[in-house]
Amino acid sequence: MADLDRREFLRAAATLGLSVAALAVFEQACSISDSTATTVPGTNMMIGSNDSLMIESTGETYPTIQTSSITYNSVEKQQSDTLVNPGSESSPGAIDLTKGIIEDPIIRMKHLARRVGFGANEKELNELLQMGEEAAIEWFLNYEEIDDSDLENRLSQLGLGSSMSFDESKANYKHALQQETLLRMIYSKRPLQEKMVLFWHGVITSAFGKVPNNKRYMADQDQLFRENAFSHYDDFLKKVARDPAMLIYLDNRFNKKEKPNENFARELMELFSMGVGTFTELDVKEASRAFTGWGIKDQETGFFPYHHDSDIKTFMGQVGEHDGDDIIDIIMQQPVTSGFITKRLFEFFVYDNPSDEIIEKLSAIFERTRYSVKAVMSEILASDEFYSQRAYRSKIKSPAELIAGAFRVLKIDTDANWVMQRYSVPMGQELFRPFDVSGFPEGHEWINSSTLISRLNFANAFATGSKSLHLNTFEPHKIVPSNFANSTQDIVGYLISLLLDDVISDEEKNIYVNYFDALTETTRKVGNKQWNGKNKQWNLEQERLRSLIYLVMSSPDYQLA
Amino acid sequence: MKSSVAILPAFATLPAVFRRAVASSILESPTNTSPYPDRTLVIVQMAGGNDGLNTVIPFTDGKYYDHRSYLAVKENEILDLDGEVGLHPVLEKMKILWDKGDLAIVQGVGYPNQSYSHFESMHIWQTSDNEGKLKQGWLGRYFDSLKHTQDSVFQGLATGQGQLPPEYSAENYSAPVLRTVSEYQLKGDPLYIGANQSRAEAVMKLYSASPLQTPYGILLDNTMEAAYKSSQQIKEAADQYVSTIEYPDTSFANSLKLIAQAITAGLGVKVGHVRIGGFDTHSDQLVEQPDLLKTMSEAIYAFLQDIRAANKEDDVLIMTWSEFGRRVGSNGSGGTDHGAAAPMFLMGKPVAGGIYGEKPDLVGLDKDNLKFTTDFRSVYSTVLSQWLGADPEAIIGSERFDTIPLLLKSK
Repeated sequence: MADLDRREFLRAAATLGLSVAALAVFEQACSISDSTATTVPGTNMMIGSNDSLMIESTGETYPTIQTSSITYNSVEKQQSDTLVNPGSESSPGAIDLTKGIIEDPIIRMKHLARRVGFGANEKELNELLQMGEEAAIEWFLNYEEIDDSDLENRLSQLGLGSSMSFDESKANYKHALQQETLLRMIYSKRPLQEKMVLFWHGVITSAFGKVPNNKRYMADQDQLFRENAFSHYDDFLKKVARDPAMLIYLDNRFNKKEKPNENFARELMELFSMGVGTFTELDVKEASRAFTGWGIKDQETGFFPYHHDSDIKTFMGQVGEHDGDDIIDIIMQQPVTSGFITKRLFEFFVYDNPSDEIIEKLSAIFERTRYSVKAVMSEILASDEFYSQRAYRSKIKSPAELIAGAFRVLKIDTDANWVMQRYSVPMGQELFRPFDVSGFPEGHEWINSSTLISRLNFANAFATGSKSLHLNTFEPHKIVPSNFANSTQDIVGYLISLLLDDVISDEEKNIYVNYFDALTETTRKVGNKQWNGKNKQWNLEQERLRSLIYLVMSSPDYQLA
Repeated sequence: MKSSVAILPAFATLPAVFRRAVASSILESPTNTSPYPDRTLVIVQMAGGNDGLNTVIPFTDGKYYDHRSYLAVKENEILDLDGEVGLHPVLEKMKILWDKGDLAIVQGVGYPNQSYSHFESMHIWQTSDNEGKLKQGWLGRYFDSLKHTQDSVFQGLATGQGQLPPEYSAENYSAPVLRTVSEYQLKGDPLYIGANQSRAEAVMKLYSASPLQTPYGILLDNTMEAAYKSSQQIKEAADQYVSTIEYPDTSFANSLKLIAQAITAGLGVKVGHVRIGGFDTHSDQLVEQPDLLKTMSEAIYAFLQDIRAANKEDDVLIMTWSEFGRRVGSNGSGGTDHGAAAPMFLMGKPVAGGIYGEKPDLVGLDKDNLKFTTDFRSVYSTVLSQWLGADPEAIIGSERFDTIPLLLKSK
């Protein structure tokens, strides 16, 4: 079915308020291809055809060659009843979406690597596939067993990581910490640990600016998140409550018996544990009293008994001489807390608006394991929901993911100095300095006209080897292996499978192919005029490759995780 | 039988906002054109909860000094407005506006059941819904009520980096957000300029070919179209802009300048948005708040002068808002905690200068906070109906809010 027809139909269907089920009928009626079709009818989604994107290998072992197919087994099964039943259901949300499962092991693995980390390069992907999925999940989860000394050495050589020295002479540690964090995302062998740090930073936020730039506090908080990324959540919150950066950011250092300051107590409940509307103003006031007296002394956490209110407090209906730890224990006992935290985890790693059933299941695990974040993550990564069609490409890559992923997947060497400021900030994300205390968004908020322009301009800087990105090794012809470089189909196919999972429509693929082919013919002349032999280093084949890499990285599909 | 319905799961997960965007693109778009095509409303968001009591100060009320003690502004420094209230001493430029009759102050603005959460309260102001049910922003709904054409990309112009202001969240319109004109341009390949034209065309083709059924297909496609067109328009506007007015060297002022450029170039800006953050003064308020107020008022003053020099002064109205005021009593850390009612400012030649609403009652407090006496939606209704010529009931919701006669009679 022609793509144009499909788009028209989608529009018309939506206008008429038709259900997606009705669309299915239409799609089926329109699909005239035979049973060996290599695209999913109606979607133009490549599912392992043998003609176009499949690359005939000549010894290269790039794994996408064996791409089998994504199938939607349960969807097929239900086709006759639930889905294909026009008019019965006008709300698509009512369809059980969790049953369409990605089956292709390679696509599953790439999806896993993007979600629990920052994507996998060719070598990493081969290693993961050799392990097999279950072992790979275990490998991601048990990151503490992995030796990451190469990364630590790399950081040390740059005066970062454990080698960062905090003396008052340096006015600003923000850039150094941003650089370090990007390097960790790009080069760590413990990608899930770094992904968890990013997650916690977006949830339990503190920020430079209010937290002084010339002190070690934010770096210490970052390390606290790294060390406790998978800990029991009650322990974690108790550490967060004592963390100097947090004591500054949410003013608890000023929270004194004589005059309580409510900032930390309120956000602890609203943003870190229970959610808005689940507590009263009285709870805020009483919890604030319990946290009085915690402050900072000589750049370390301090407790000042004379500022602490040790009288009776009534918090969430429980009466006692509560201190801050007691408040956290009571918060953890509230059923809403488990739901809040597991939902945030699920939405960050899988998809938005999970069913109550899923959250109840995850909450039960969370409570049974005394709030183990690792146990919840383990369950999530093994679930069908994680590999569902609903989850696949359902997240917009955050700017940090987009940037780190480009370096990581294409194996580019960089020191990442100032990259955050130059490229991530214009895309709307500055690590260690989120917009406000609600942290980072996770969805469509990343996309507006200016952030999209910034995303494409990053792709441009990257593909053209801009010095501003500190690309030490960007050589286009080395990205595409020589045995793939003989035909447009091979080159395009290689880059698409590396960067876009091979899952794109014929129409899209043709745009790449036609673009690349046309570059030889029509633009050589213009290029020659412009350069006119003055620069002998200029090589058309290289420039065409750069240009194609730009196009792939600028594509709508590349924006999705 | 083949598997033929892979399209379903992904499409079905489409957030409502994007699903409806499909419909709206072929629905007959609204035929409304603004009755006042040349007018612009500029929103200034004072994020964090500005302390209204130290901004418009009831200096003749002894209770003010009782409650505020060391945070109180000295009486002899306050810029007296009407013998009862006065402006914080750093707001000299706003006092000039006042003297010209270009400043209207609405006292005691808030809403029922005040939320003390920044996010919830901002959400209420941004959606104009205090039950938290509406997803779109109030200005987004205004944009949705207008006819969209290829030439109306800049109907809503937001300044800044990154996030779209939630007020602007609309079903079928994605407003441009920008900080500088040069950042808002698609860069070419400096090494291969011969490819740039076909490269840009290929990008646009990819976006329009991106599958509609993916959750973000429509968003990405619409956004790319808006980005491409608007980046060219704003560049032309900046190239043509000539002004002798000097703005302060702050990012807030630069944002206002960008809006001035778009307005003077006739890009059809109905609403501009500028944000200034940092008003969450739980501590160190005596230093932080005056800095912010000064930055804000000086930039606004320069902007209005610029607008006047471009002969647009009859067509530009500024409105400020903040998610809440602050606690009447100080918190002992040199600051104030989250509060309730606070004043709003409307500025520009179109306003009927003066003070509207009731002076804050420092005795009858509600949980140590000022009670609101004017619902913020009355102010919204006023600017919607009397400035933008829109139907406030359709945009704000079923409830009717009285308008306030704070604008000069319609021209």
